[in-house]
Amino acid sequence: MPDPETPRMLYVGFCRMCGTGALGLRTCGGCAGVVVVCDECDVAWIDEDLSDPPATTGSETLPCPHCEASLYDPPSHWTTGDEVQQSDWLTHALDHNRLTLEVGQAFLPEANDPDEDLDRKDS
Amino acid sequence: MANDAQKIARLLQTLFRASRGKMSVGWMIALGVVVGGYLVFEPALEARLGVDLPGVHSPEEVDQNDTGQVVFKSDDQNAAQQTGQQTTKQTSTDAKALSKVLKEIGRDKFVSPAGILYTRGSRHGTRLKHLMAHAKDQPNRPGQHGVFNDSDAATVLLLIDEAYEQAISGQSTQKKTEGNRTIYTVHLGRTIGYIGGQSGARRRHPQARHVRLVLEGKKLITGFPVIP
Ligand SMILES: [Zn+2]
Ligand SMILES: [Zn+2]
Repeated sequence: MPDPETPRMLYVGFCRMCGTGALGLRTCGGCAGVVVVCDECDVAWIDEDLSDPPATTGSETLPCPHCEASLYDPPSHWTTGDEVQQSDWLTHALDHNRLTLEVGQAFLPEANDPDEDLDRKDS
Repeated sequence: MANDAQKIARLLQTLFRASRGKMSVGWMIALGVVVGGYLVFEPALEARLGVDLPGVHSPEEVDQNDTGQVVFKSDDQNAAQQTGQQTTKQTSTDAKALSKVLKEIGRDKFVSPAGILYTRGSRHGTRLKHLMAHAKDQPNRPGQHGVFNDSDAATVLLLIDEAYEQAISGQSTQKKTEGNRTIYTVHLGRTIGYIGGQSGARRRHPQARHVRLVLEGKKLITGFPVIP
């Protein structure tokens, strides 16, 4: 099931696998770990070593590399600023300029709905 | 191709101006024949070679506005977008409503005529919904968001099938594999969409003639127009 949450997403670059998706920070609803997921092709990494093969790939679900809970379904969610500060690997990678944090809009499930006014929703 | 005569005339005018009127009429005619021939055969050459050749019908038309700034125009794309706005077609993402194209083979599991599997998955809920989210621009999405010109789900599904069949034949296709994923980038030899998202908007939505397919076995993960 798609999550109904806000589409704001902290991301750390773009996916080398599909060449398109933003690499969003996702907090696992099962173990509260922060992982990197491609917002387009559903692959997950456990840390900033993004040239390594992804830790998990998703077809029907995207399992957390740590605990296998679904990274799509609530309570999994896009990582908040507070959660970034609490993640050891992430603060370490940011402090050492291995990753750059940006904020953007996640790929909208609502984009299918012809009646949805995305622009109004975004503003 | 309807505007090719205009384009040839515009190109010749530009060349004539560049030569400051020194070009003879004979040379102008010879140049017209060469340019016209290139325009006619360029798409076929591109499809055969799998490369984007320069051409006056290529993704963006460069022109200059009154202030001399370079601006980009795209007749085909504007027409496609206008058609999209006027069309009464809905972006159906109910796989069962697409029974002419998709055959149900299990719970939430459908197969296309070319054998591509559409299952549950992604934050969109199903791969079909995810695919059809590429039938509409998302202007605030970071980076590139490939958008199909056609918003009719059956048409998009058949386009994905066409790209897949071309990909497995190896024609005009780049293939990359990593783990259980296969990523094909397929040159279809015609404009099938454009690049949207924030990056596409900055570049005035260039037209795309390639489709990228991400597959796990025969399961479609995603597919979208791309400029490689
Ligand atoms: Zn977890
Ligand atoms: Zn990706």
